[in-house]
Amino acid sequence: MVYINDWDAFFHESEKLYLEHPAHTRYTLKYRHTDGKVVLKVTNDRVCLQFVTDQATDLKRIERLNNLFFTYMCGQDPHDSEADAADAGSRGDRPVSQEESGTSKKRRGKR
Amino acid sequence: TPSMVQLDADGFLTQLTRMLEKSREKGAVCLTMKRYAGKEAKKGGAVDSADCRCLVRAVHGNTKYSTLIAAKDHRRFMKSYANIMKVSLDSLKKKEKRRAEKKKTGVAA
Repeated sequence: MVYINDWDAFFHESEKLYLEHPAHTRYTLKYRHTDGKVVLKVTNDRVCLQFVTDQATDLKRIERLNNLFFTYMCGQDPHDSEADAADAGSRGDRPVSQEESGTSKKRRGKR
Repeated sequence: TPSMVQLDADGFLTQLTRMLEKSREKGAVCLTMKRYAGKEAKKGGAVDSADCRCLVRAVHGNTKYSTLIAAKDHRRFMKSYANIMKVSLDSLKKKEKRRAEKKKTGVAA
């Protein structure tokens, strides 16, 4: 049971653990309204990573982690679809989208 | 003992919202995500990413819901899920405005 204080380290280690053990790694989020706390856990039942927060500012970060796992766990690569997923956030435009369909249309916005 | 109820994505999101509402007074909601790669993969067979689903579970006390999300639905699901979280996880501490510091430094140039 390891509590990681640094968000970036927790995010990085969690992604790494999943990529090494995609079949056995699960991600849990526990929220107790009365405590005002969120406890995140990423584990493959051998390694267990945890992150605790009571800060509302961490919600955006947690959303990113949620999205990372949703994408991985349904068989997609979040780093491929980052350009599309970015419209859910507000990070501006990243013209790095790669379409794998036969008819590859490169959309260049005309001003 | 009450058992897991599996729902489609929209049904799950509706029940999740209700669950978070109900849990404001007491208890905790536990959300779990795990990859489900199909029956063949469970037996140790090869994993086809097309068969992968994201299994999502929501538990509060004896109430348990689950759903399986496929790649084609995951973006829509992610957005709805994020909105529900934003609204429901509202007992976390907001950022404190540093009024004391501002007063110390006096008038900004």
